[in-house]
Parts: sequence; C-alpha cells; structure tokens
Amino acid sequence: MPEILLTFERDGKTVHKETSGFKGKDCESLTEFLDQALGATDLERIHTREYYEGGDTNERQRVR
Amino acid sequence: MSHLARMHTAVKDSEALIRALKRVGIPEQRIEYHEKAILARGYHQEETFNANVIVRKDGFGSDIGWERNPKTGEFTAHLDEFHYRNQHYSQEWQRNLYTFYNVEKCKMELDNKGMEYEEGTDNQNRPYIRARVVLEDNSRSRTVGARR
Repeated sequence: MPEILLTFERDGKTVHKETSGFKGKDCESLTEFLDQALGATDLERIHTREYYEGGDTNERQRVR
Repeated sequence: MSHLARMHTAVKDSEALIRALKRVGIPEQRIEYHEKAILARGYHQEETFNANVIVRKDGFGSDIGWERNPKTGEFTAHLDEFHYRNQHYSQEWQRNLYTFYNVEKCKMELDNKGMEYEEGTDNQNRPYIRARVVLEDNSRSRTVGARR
C-alpha cells in the first residue's frame, strides 16, 4: 500500500515528505494537498526511480 | 521510494495553531480566538497590540498573540521583550510550538480525507506521521480516499 512519511524538524519550519509505493506522478499529485496545507515555500523535490516508472536517474527540482 | 520533498512552512491556520498551543502546555481557558483581531494587553497597560489568537497572561507579564496578515493569511507572533528575558516563551519554546503546528496541520488534513496514520518520534527525537494511502480509481482521475 502506498505510504506518506512526514518528518518534522525541531526548527519549527522544515518538513520532510517521503512517498513510497506510488507509480509515476501520482506521488506528487495525490500528496500535494499536504504541501498546500502547510503553506510550503522553498520546496525541494527529489524524484526517484518509481517516479519515472523505469527511469534510472534521480532528479532534483526546486519550486519557490 | 517515489519522491522526497523538503519544504519550509508558514503558519496560516488558527485551529492548528490553537491545537499546537495546547500541545505545548497552554491551558485551553487561556486561549482565545477572534475572527476579527482585537486588542491584547502588553506589559504596560498602554502597550497593546492586535491579535486574532491570544494567550492571556498568567498572573504577570503580558498577553501573547498572533495576528493574521489579511493579504497573505499568515500569522505573525507578538511576544514582548519581557517574555524573552524571562524565558517564558523562549525561541526554543517557539520552535517547539511551530513544529507541533506542522504536525497538527497535517493531522487535520489527513483526518479530513479519512486517512489512517500513526504518529511517533524518530531516533533523532523528531515527530513523524506515517500515513497509509488508499487509491481510488475514478473514470478520469485518481484520488486519495479512506480505507474501506
């Protein structure tokens, strides 16, 4: 079953979100409600193999 | 793993802020919420400030409060020097408060979607939430739903 792991830094402003078990872009589109709820800024994403469904590289994306 | 994201957050939800205040030990009866900001009491009677969320003073000092910026929706804290000096609401206290704000805000969103989750603390003493996702296949789109 797909999972979302949210880890909250003790600095009061940084949240890490890890998703697993999703295929393709579902991991972003189905969990972005949390980004929006937290008023996310300075968002940095690292896409992994599952995101590309067979791709072989990770990619960093920064959204401000 | 599908993706990792690291984000910085903003305090925009009064209910999550009030939940966080309770988690850091503020008694419910000292917390007020006003949709329209009202005057709170500073250390001296003449020093007042506007706030939507107010924690009334506990015997001495002043109220503390958070005022919503009508343009951004973001809350700004009002804490005076007295509190910093006396460590009533230190920077560490504030960091702890906003950490729990983030936790409570996420729990509210997960509850709204009927999602199951567990809350805990990791080996670095960081709070975490692990949520299980049930995917619902609709004809045109996929959504997140509650476990049936």
